[in-house]
Amino acid sequence: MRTFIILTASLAALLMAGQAAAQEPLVQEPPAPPAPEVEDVLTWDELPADLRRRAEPLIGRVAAQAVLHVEAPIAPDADFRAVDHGDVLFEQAIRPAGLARITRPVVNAQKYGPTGAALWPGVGPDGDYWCWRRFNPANANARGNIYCYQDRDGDGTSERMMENPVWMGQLPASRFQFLSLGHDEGVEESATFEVEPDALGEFQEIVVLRYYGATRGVVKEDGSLAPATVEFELMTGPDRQSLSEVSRIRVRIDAEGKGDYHAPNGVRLEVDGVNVDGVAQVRLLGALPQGRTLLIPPVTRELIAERMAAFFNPDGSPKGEPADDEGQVAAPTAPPAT
Amino acid sequence: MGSRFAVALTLGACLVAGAAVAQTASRPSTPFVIHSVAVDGTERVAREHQPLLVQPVTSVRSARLDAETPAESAGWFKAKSFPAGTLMFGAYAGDYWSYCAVAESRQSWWSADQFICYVDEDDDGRFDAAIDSGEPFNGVPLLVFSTGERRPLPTPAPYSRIPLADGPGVEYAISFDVVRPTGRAMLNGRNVPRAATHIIPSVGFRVEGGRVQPLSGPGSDLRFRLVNGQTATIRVKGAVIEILGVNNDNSVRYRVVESIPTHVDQIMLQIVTTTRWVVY
Repeated sequence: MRTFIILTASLAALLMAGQAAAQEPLVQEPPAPPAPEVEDVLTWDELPADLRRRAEPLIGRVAAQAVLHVEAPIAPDADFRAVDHGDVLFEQAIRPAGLARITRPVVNAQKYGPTGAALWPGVGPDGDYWCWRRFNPANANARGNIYCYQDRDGDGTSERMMENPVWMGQLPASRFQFLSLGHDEGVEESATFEVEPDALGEFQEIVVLRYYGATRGVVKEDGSLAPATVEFELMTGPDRQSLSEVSRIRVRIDAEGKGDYHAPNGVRLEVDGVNVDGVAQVRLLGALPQGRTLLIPPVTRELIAERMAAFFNPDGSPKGEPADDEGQVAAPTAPPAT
Repeated sequence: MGSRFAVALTLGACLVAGAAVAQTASRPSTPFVIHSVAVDGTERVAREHQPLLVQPVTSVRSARLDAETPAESAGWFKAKSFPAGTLMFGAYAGDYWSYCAVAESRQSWWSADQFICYVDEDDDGRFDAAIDSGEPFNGVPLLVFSTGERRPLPTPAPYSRIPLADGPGVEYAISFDVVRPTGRAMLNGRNVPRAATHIIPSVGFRVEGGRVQPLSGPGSDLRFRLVNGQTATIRVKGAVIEILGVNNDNSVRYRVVESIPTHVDQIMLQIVTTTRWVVY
């Protein structure tokens, strides 16, 4: 395979060189650029069998979350920009990706959703849901539990209801997003609902990628860090003053000060240098795609292999360098005196 | 039936009475810099639990007050303002920087020292607001856990950012434990401890009294086997320390070959609270 790739790359380089020569025969051409350096990539099959066995149940499994509609794409950066702690790299407006209304509620409709209540779409490891939450119109901050109706066969009749208690608060700032479906509420009745084609949910929120800073790194004489780790926060909520963290993005910076990152949700970043005080040169190459999407797409084998590349060589052998001491914690302490 | 029900109820009540739920609140520390130190390879002696190596730590950002801060209410018996020239360390709280100093308690038996952190909201080189930020976490006057409400200052307080190494610092240290089998041994007719088998380094911040607050997590369970009960080479966080001999009182002769290289690091601060449900 490697030989094949080398041969292909070399052939491509040769073809390109030949083409240039044919187009401009009178100009002395600079030497052809060297063939791109081929690098083996760790694949799923090369991961240790034990790790594959443990990761297999995660493949294709989608995390509990609301299904989003992204209003507009973000243009990638043409060049690197200096970012400091707290700087926002992108902000995208989102809404629930669909709308359904309850046509026949279950008992205790005030709690679980009355007739006509607007539902928004959610997903979880066990399938698709339509979700509802009670709000107090007199108090925007007062919000109830999220109730999600599961409709496995898509016939508009629920088979199960999940209750995600408000106190669990995984995304407390958001009005409709969640990271857990909670537990089976045990409601035996079925609700019916009607999907409004092509309609979007009423909530309008934002997704933001915020720069957190450099959290680890060796300080070089010029004040830069390399190798290092820089972190970004993928956040969501009604506005910039009310954001909750969905995930933490850690970009490993190599000994030359460079690093890149891409996620299945479309976020792509490139870093070219970071200083000891955390100011980094960053280029945003991608954000969430426009239209229907998930903040946390299902895990793929390719993604696991890519993330594991930091720990295993392409032949599956562990990398010699021991894992760094990330995650050290100070000894827990008693609560501070108030 | 009634009696069985009562027994079940009583058992249930006992279980409820004994139920305790632990909650953990955690937040990352502001990234900090552990500065390397020059080593001369001199042989030294250290007692068990005392540092083999001590290195300065600063925040990744620091500042110096250019004028006295306005009088502040920092709680009972604490300093209420800071003079010009006070060094302050940077604390990052999610989306803004603050610069903090310790308001020392004047009645230490009664109330603890407390951080006061200042925020430059409009980034004009003057602090506009102050925050009471609680006590130093685990006694380390660089680790801020709480962020309270911002109070506007009556008059802005000018400050200047200062170079990394000039910032207020704390100390980071590597100390050690000696592991010996239990029991006794005899040497020339005298009781002596059995030969040591391992030396366990612990790394962490040095707090009042010289103690080292050990950090837990990956890499904190390193142990090094002592050759002939005497010598070992400790390698932790890039530092290299040669143990040249272990005395019967668990003190060691040692030599620092390399200090921890200058690097940025971060730890997780955790507070564990326990809620106990009591039936009465």
